Amino acid sequence: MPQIDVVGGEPRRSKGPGARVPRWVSKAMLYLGVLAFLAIILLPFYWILLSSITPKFKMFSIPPRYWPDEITFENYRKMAQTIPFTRYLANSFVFAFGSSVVSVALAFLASYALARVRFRGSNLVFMGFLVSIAVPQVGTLVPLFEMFRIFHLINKPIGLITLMSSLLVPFTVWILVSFVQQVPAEIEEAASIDGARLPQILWHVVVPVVKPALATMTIINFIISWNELLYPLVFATDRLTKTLSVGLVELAVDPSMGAGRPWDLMSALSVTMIIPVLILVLGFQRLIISGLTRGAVKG
Amino acid sequence: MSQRKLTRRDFLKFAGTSLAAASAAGLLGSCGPNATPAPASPTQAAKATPVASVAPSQAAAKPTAAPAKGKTLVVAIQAFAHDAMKPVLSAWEAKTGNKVSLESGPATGQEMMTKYAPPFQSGTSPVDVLSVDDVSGPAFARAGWLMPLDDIIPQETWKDFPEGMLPPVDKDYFHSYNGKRYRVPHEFAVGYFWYRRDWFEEKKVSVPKTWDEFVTVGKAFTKDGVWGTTEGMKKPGLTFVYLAYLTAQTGGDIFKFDDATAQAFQFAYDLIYTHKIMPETVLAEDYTQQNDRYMKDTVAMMRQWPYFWDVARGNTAWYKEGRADIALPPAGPAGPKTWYGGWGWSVPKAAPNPEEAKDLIAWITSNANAPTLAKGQSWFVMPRKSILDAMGNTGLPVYMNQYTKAGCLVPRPYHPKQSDAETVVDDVGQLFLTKQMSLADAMKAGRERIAALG
Amino acid sequence: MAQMAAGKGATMDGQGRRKRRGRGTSLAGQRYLAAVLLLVPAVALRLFTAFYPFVHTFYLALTNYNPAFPPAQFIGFGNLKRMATDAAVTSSIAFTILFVLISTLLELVLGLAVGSLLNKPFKGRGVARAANLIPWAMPMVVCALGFRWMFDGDYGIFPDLIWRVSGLRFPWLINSWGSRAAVIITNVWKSTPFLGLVFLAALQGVPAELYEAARVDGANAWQSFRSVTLPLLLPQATTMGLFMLVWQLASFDLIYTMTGGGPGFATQVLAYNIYQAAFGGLNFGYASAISLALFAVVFVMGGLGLLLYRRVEVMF
Repeated sequence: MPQIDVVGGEPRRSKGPGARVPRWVSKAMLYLGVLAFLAIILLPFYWILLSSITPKFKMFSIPPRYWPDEITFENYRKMAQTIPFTRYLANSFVFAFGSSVVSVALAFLASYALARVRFRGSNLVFMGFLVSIAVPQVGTLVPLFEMFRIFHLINKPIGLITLMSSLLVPFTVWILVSFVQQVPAEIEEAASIDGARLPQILWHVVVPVVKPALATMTIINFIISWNELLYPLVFATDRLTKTLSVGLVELAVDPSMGAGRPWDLMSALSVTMIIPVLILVLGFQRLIISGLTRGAVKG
Repeated sequence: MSQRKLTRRDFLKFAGTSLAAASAAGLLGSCGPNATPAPASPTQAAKATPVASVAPSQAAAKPTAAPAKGKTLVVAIQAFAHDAMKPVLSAWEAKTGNKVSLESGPATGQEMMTKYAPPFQSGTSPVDVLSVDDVSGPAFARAGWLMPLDDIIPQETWKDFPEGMLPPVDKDYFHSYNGKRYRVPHEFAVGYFWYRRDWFEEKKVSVPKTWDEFVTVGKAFTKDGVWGTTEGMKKPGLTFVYLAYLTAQTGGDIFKFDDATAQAFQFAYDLIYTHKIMPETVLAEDYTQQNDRYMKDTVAMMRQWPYFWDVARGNTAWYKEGRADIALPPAGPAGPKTWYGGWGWSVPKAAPNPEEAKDLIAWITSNANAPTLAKGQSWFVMPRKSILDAMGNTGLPVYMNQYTKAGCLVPRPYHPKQSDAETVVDDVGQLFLTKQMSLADAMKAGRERIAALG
Repeated sequence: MAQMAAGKGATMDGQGRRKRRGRGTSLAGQRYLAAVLLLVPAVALRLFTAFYPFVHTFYLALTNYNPAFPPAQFIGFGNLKRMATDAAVTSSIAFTILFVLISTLLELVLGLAVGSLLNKPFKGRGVARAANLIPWAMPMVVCALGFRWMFDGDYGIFPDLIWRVSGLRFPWLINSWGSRAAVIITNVWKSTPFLGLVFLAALQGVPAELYEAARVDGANAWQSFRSVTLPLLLPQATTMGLFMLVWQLASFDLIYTMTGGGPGFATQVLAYNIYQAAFGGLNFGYASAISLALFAVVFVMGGLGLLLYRRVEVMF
């Protein structure tokens, strides 16, 4: 019996009738594919990174340059001086973390209800969640502002978190529902026979099983919130609440009538902004994938 | 197939490392010759500015937690202007015992609307004094969201402005509405004509005085990657700027799309496709790219706002005398004209501290402080008498005077629905200039769309 | 006694298994209450932040409300008439649909390719998987601005590379189809990684035995892909595709920063029309009408997508 690698994914073909192409060729093509893939994915990012460490007036050239002549960190320095960087960083953190946690928590509760309980109208609620993502953010600004003003939620982190969590809930519900459905009903039943009430069943039985999915969605939602621009732009009115993404559009060192965004500063800020995300993704990359994998949920 | 269990430790680990890493990147950026020593408290690092006049505690403390005496007002203006504002603001703080918090304002009219229309609409304002542009200012005034300033600003300040810049209330569409003034200009943006005097002198070419000369001179310079002229015409807004500039030179009423307007549009088209002295990519470029072309020695002449003065001179590796000079614009059929506009100060009606805001705006715009601001940032340079007296013989004011005396200045084209009308010009202009529509169709479409605005 | 101790889970055994499919006894009633309580937070959140603005939008769409030009008047279908004759809106509807359809299609196909690639064993796979997410993890404003520079006729690396390889020069951003392509390329570059991740996870969930069985039957790579991978992934691909479709219909910051809808109206999308109408001229009434138009487009496309999903679900 030929060797089969069972760790998720395609089995390695070592021998057998299926292998028509010599192994070294397919391996070479694989690595070529990987290189091409990385080149496409990373080329624009490389250019952005390059821009951030190139002196301002040497950044652009006709024809374009692919390798830096001179390296400088001046752009980073200026960027950190033009906006209240550390304050915005902290705000971004609070905003992204809060939004991801709240959205996953609420979505989890909702998904459990939708996945487990067959009640009339559950389909309607599910559809309602999906349809609600069709409401364009831009169109909601004015009525939402009015409503938030009445509730004194303007320029408060909790207000921003509420808005962002709401935006994230439908997608999170969609993903989590299918994971909750996979939790074997037997163990829940066993727990309830043992005397557990619903909250205990949820916390001690269901959550541990879907934990990877919850973690993944938290990370994904964190990243989405980290980059969100429109809501913080309108609902955060001073530096106590504004986030780094707002800082991106506030970087203005020249009065260029708004028609000349400072690419030197923006590239520096965007490279800075991506660092926490990169760390998250690099560190938890296996977890993220396993969190989205169906059939990985075992009793 | 072991599943990684997510422990609390993992979570804290990621939170800690990413926060640390991002802060490290930021602090690394903050480190430099001008950085404040040992940024111990995060808020100190964030305020690493040379003029520490605004109380550092401001950054962290909530406004209501400021020293019991005195209120905290919020002033919003674009980030680059903050350094120049600080001395003037701290003098006011000392005078009145109030505090001022400077926020970064948006850089375009549309962003201004996005940010401030929702709060103004619901009757609140996050700022006490706001710098607004030619599009958002009149719109806010019309909507009744701004305080009338006629009685707040002393007469001597109003009189400090020449009539060419600030017409009488009934004729001034950009700073007044219904017989009241709502904005005090603090910027005088003129589309100057910039050129490479060094190249002109070297080739012994004189500055073009008419459109025909402009084309000839442009052709003389256009070769091997060098262009006679360039521009930035990306949507939104920039196409309008350039076409309005040309239309000023033909004497057309751009929002009427009359024959003189058509002539201006045609001239722009010819510059790109017939005479080929302007690269066609400019239709998707912004000012950063335009300026960059110029400073890479690939452009001989161009129209650009006054801020280019500082940009050019700030590029110390490139700048030399004669590389960025200003001359009168080439004369179209209606003469050497260019339009002007600018940002101005307003007080929102819903300002949190109205009485103090009134005092603050009067202070910022006073004849005593105008020169201080102008010296601090050239963006604030205007043909106000107080500024000209203080600065008159050097730099931009020289050209301001020159343009004024030659009668080059025409006001920005006005329409009650300013933003929509400018968008029509943008759209129609681009359709024509990218050959998606003929000139006749473009004019017709323009007229129809303006009419549809109601 | 068991009843009291078990609380909600009373008397399960045989009945418990039936409960999941059937309707119910008072037990189900209690569960119904539990479900409502669990749903309330999420539903309330959506009601307040999406439904309420929608209703507000619906109402405004029937007026010509503009705070700078009071008073607001009820004009019924006046906005609809205006939209029908507004070239900016009509061409925008067409491009919005085109943009979303092509983007989603490309994202699905490329996402699947990426997922498959990252599923294969090779050195440095973890790094490649992390690198994959970089485009998706960048703020859209930065991508849009960066790509605008990269597509520029003179400054851009893309035209430069194309020229170096083929000697051809193509004016991307000043040509109506070129700019459309540029915008779609940017969008696809940014969103594909996420789909790649989803497909990677999905592929990992395919039991290896199925591939083994196919291999034993003599299938080569392509055939096993068609008969094993594709059928298992298709439902998920359809749902993700549907989601991306609807979600991208509301995208506007890409267009705003990259082309402003230009040249002319070539890359105008409905969300940008809404933005311009509302925050250019304070035409809240007109902007609301365009929002409803966008909503209608979403409904239609979402509906069609759902039909497709049902058919796919039935097939497998």
